[in-house]
Amino acid sequence: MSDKDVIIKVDHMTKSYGDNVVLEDINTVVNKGDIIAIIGPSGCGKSTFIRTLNLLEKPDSGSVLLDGQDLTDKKVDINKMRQKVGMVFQHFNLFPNLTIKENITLAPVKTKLMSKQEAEKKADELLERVGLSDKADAYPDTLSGGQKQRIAIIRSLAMNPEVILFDEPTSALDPEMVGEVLELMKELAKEGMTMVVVTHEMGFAKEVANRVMFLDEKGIKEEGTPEEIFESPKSPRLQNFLKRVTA
Amino acid sequence: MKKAKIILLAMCCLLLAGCGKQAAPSDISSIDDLEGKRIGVQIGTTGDIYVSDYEGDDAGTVVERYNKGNDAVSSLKNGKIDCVVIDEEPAKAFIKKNSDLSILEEEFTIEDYAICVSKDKPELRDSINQALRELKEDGTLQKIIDNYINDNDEGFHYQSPDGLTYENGTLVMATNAAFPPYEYYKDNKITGIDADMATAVADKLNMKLEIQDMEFDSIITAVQAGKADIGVAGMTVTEDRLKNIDFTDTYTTAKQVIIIRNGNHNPLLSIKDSFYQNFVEENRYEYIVKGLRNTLVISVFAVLLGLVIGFLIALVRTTHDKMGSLKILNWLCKVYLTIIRGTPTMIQLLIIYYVVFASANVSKIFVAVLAFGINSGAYVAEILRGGIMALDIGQFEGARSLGLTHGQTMRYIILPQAIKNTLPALGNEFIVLIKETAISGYIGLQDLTMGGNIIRGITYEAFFPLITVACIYLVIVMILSAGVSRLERSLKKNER
Repeated sequence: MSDKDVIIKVDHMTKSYGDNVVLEDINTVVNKGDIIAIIGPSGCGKSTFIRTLNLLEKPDSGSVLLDGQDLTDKKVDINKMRQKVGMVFQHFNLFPNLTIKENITLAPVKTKLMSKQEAEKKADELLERVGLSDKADAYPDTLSGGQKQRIAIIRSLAMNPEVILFDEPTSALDPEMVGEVLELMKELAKEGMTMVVVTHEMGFAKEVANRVMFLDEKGIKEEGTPEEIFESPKSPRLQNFLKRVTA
Repeated sequence: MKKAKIILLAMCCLLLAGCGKQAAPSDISSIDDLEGKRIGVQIGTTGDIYVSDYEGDDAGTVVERYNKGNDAVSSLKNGKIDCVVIDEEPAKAFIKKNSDLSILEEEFTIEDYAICVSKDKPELRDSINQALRELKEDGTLQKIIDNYINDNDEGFHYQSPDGLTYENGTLVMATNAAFPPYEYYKDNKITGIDADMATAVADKLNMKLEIQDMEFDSIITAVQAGKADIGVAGMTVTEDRLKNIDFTDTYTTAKQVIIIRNGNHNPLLSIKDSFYQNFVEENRYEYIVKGLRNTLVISVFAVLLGLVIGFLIALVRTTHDKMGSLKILNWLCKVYLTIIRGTPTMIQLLIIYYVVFASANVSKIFVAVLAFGINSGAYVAEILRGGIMALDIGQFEGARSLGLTHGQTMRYIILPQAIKNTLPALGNEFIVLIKETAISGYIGLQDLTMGGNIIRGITYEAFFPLITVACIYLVIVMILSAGVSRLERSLKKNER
């Protein structure tokens, strides 16, 4: 695999809160087309890890390279870099003061990625795609959780990102709404979108991911294909974890 | 609105019930009886200085100090105090209008009135002395005094000679126009012995006289600070005052006398007559109209200034909190917030007028807008900061993760929500601000409150002027509240 296909490279990255070390010496890469599922017990630093990938959390040392540029470098325009990295949050983080359509078009227009017309056209297409065209002028508070999360996903898609980070996208949803969100994520995966997903949905990890990372005790403890991780886990900790989540 | 009407009605009933009561006559027949009594004086006057000797004696004498002679007299009429020690001529003017009051035959003390001038301006003092000498020699001064004291309306009235060019500029006179016959309001103008005498002096100096009305105890400060050139307010030369200020030669002498209640009934005015006297006679409603205009101008611009300052400070503070930058600016903002929220608004107003703009000739409205705006800004800043900090951190992260800058995030996402959520608190702050402008009178600015007070000072009636002023404030605040509620409703459209 050539360097050209590497989107994100994490190099000797460490992150701690005060004396509490959360991530220690993390090294990994995200390649174009990767669907990476990050699993692990709660509090293991999964969310912190994925949030360092667009610098919502600032690493204490080491580097996070996006397209070869170090995000921790003060000279790098972090706003420009973040335009290439979509992010979907557990709690959607839609803007309640804006309509659904405005939620989608605000960033592409304000970052001068698109003209207003282009952004609106794009928003219409995306809304059409997820079957929520009738909600274009509604406000987020009138939507169900599943609808909100699908809007959040297409909001990040509107920026034409190189990679989308999902931070437990289905954890805050009622069970009957999980399906519609996972379905959309699977579609994106099929289209070749590069995705990094922190998830508790082992089914999704097994079915969709090409790489699975097991995070525990401050680091990536095991990594491999879904078969390797789920069929033949090596470390007792992973075996233990899988036993608990599938029980 | 129905609720408001009921409140107003209840207020009126309550106040009417308090009217028409007559206090018992004072139990004072000579100076010796003053011990153990409640004595009213005008703050900072010689009367105040003399009776202060009684204060804290074994007999339990109480000295009540009022900002205006009229207020002391009103309190005497209501029975809140037993007597008032004040200069003789104002005392005469007071009892002429109040048959339930008399002056004790015995005089308290005799004193000299003079004009006060800053110690930095000996030339001005000398030229005023020269002018006073000339006015005494040609009899003008005596004629001016006789005109007022002997109540001779058709006699002499001082007129500026024709052909004055005022080439030496303006002579600003500080006074407290609630001290008839020396200075008082008539036909919306300040008139009286001091006013005429000062005009005559200014004419001699070929200067145009400009009279500024303020609290009596602010006059010397104003002259010291250069806000006014001279202070003329029936002011007696005392040793304490000489430490801070220079006086010209004496222009007249006066006595301190004691006013008491004599037990006579003051004929009660009918509501119609009272209304006529307070608002219609001599177009007195104009004091209220002018005051209302000033209050509105000050309030509107102070609210705007407060919003601008508040926004900037809230942005600096939250940017610092979220990003860790702007350390020095944040520190400055914290100093500002501490000082402004830690000191009384009135002191801030006085400091801005008398200290910051001590020597600059600035409009009082401007000073008031600045003072109230700077004051309000501190509260608006903290209200907004609270609104911003209360928003889910996810709103910042959602926006930043899309590549929006901190500024864009604030402008399009955070502030619109913070403003909506803090609107009730902001409305509250504006209400407080509007009512707080009632202290503008302390820098001699004729706002709504002072307009009412001027009328009260002329008519000695508390009811109509105070109730009218209160009702106008109430209406302003109700209109503002209605506006804020409307805005709230229209911003709520995006909620279920």
